[in-house]
Amino acid sequence: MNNKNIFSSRLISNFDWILFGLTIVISVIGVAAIYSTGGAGNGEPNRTFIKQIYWILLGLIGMTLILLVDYHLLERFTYIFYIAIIIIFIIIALTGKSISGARRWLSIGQLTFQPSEIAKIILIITLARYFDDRNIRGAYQIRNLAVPFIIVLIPVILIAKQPDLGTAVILFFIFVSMSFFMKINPKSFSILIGSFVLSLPLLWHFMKNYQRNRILTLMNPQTDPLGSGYHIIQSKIAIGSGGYAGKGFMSGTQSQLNFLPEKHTDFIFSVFAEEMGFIGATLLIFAYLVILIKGIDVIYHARDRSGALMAIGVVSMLTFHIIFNIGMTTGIFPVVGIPLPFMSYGGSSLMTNFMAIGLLLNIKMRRFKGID
Amino acid sequence: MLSENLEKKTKIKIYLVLTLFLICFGAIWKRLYNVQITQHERLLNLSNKQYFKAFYSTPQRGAIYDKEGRDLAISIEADSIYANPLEIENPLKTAGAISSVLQLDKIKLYRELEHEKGFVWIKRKVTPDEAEAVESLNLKGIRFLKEGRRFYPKRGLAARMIGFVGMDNHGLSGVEYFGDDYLKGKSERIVIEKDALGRGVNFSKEYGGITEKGYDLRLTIDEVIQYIAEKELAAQVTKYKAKGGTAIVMDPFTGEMLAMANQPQFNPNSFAQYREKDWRNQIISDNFEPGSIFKLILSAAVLEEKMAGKDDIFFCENGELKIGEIVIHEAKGHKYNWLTLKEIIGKSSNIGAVKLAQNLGAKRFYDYMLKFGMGSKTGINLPGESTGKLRDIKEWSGISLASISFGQEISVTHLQIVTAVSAIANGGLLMRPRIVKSVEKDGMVLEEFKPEVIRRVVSEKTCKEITEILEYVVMSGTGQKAAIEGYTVAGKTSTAQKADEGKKGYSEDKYMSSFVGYVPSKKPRLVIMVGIDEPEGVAWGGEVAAPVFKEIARQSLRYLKVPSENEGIYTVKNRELRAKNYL
Repeated sequence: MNNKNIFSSRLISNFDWILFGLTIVISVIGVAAIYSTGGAGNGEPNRTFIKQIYWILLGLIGMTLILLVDYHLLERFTYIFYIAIIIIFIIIALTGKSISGARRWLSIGQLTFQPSEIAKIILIITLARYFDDRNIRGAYQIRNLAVPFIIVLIPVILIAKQPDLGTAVILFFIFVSMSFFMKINPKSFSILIGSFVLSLPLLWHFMKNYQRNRILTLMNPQTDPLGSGYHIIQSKIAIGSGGYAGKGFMSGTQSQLNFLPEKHTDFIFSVFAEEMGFIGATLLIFAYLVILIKGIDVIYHARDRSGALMAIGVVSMLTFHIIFNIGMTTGIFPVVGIPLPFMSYGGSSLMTNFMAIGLLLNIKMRRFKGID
Repeated sequence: MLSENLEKKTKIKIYLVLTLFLICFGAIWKRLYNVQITQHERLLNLSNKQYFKAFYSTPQRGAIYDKEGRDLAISIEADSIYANPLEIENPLKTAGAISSVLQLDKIKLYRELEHEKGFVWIKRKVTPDEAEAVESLNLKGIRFLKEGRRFYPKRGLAARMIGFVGMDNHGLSGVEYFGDDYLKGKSERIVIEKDALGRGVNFSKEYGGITEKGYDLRLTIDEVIQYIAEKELAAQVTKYKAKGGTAIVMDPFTGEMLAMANQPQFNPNSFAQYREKDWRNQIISDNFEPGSIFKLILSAAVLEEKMAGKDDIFFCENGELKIGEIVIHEAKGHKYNWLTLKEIIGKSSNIGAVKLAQNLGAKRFYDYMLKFGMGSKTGINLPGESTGKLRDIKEWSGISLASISFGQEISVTHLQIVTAVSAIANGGLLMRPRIVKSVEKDGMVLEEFKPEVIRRVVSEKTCKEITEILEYVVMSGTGQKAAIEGYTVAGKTSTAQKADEGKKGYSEDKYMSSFVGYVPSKKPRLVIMVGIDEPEGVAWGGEVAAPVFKEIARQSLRYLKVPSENEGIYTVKNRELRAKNYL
């Protein structure tokens, strides 16, 4: 394994332009939606969308870096990354910058960065490495899953304590999806599912009050229209008032007039759906679906196990983000802070997602043995 | 490639995951359809409710013209000043500067500007000077809006009839009130966007101010005749130090009101400075006891029913008639013995009237009163019309018939009397009195109000006979001061004691002196009624009201270019010759 052939024409001919192109298209739509939310005059100049453009450019650089390095090299150093990120989490827990009562941020000079985002990629590569190293003949037993479970559990607990329930849940789901592709003893599988269901009340017990309220209000948002239900109601009003064709770019009163909280981050989909309507929202969802199908294609055609495992991790990560975010804005899921990939404002999330796409492109480019 | 050696199970897993993805995306898409399409209307309503606030624009109010198109009420654009408190950086300074220019309460204004509402009226419909002064302060967050402001260029002229509008441009009385639906224009619902904190945003560009102009109303009033009536009435009211007065000019054939004058006047441009009772149109709202004028209705009934001819004679009891406990006397202490019907009216004999009424009978008399429109509204297009008070015949006492015969125990409005007399003047048709001639827009007639006959009251023959009697009244009876050179006048005086306020019975020194008549008597152009309320000193209708009638009629006839009658017998010169024959 070396990367002296990275510029070979064969590599470039295997570059998935559709996957890359769709990513860029959605990012541009995201910038437009963010620009639209900043349009209503509270007097401040609208800088958010410009920052987002900078983040996209940085994301593209991150993506390129991931592309250039053979994913096997990433696999080789992954435990170092893993230990590094755990140390960072501990540092944050002690000193991190608190935004809205949550310690999720790491400040390095002027930059604030959310390490829990990049942790997703690191975890995906680490799990791939672990499963790849221990290619057990026959089916996995529960005890075989203990070590990868602990690998996931440490960051999950640290992130959940920040508290960032959304990311913690996603990390857990990534683990479940990747394990799903391992051969698991059917009996062990049933025990795992059973214990997950049994542990739900325990999870409820450890939840903070506001987290519980969010789940309760999901069942009936009108019980507390100005409290926990506010987000869901306002988001539904925004999306619903858009109708078929939407209110038009920059004309979504619901989002323009600050009724919608977190409109440029977690609720950017509501802004988009209000202004572009059902037609626009359908096209956007379709674009995401194409990205995911392209991802499954990468899994299917990956050269080796580690590549396939990484692709599984990335695809499941993107899927959970998309489904949870849109599900949240339309009132299917409780309000958990999960951004919509490439649309929501936020540097850490953009960086991570671009790197994830970079990983997919990387795996796809190197799917033929002859390249080595 | 891995795919080549992928186990079958793994392949199945991949397809399973793919299916799961499609199901998840399908579920989300279905949800999206549900929210955006199925629930669209409900959620849009919710959305509109929470960020729209409705306002009504102020359209330019239609004008009111006289019958020749002369302006009586017009709308001019005036600046209204409002503030958007959000844009104001220093509310205290702003409030201070504005309050000193506009003479407003500084503290109150400051509180309003401090309190973050989206929209605060500072002062509406200011003068151009005030607007300029505020504009020159060049304050942030202070804005201007054009609103229609009502202006009455003729000020007090016909003011009580035209009425006036309030600050929000809605008619509060008179034609302004009655015609409000036509005049007010189409006020558009303007919505103002609110943000999540309830602050108004973007209203400046949305709140457009004047929208669709109202319709214009052309009245039947003739400004010149109105002016003549006002002027002559005012002069007499002043001369006799009267409490007030009214003068009405009506076209008997069309029911058109040519003038409706009230004294004292008020200026509708500053209506708030006057007492509320000064706004009232006494012609239609005030009840009074008609007195001798009512003998006209009585005689019309007697003649129509052929109970007596105009030259039949009645014994007038030498000035004293006892009915039950009550003794009836003649005015001025006259004592008549035998009078013709014509003389009873001409000399205004009360006892004669009682005799006529007894001759006619209560039921018939009552029916004619109803026919002439007593006790019911005339239906003129003005608010606040009174029905007068005509007691039902079943409630009449033993002396009611006698009292009503000379116009007591019944109350009427001036308009009812003018309308009734118009019926006699035009040959027997009771016409609906009209004030609005047409509804117009930009000079185009949209709706025209035609003359309307209510009913035939008496025959033409009766009218001719009455006219003859009324000509006699003016030539040699109580109404001689109403006579006009070159025209024959028919008319009747009245000097009615006013019912004493608080006490029972009649006041000794409070009178309503009136005169009603028409000219030229044979082919009347004008029916005019003048009422002087509580004149001091001489109270007789023939002395106080008749001269006003004469002046209004003389000047109006000249203005209308009505040719004088040159048959010598009716001219004033010959009047005395002719009159001698009767004495």
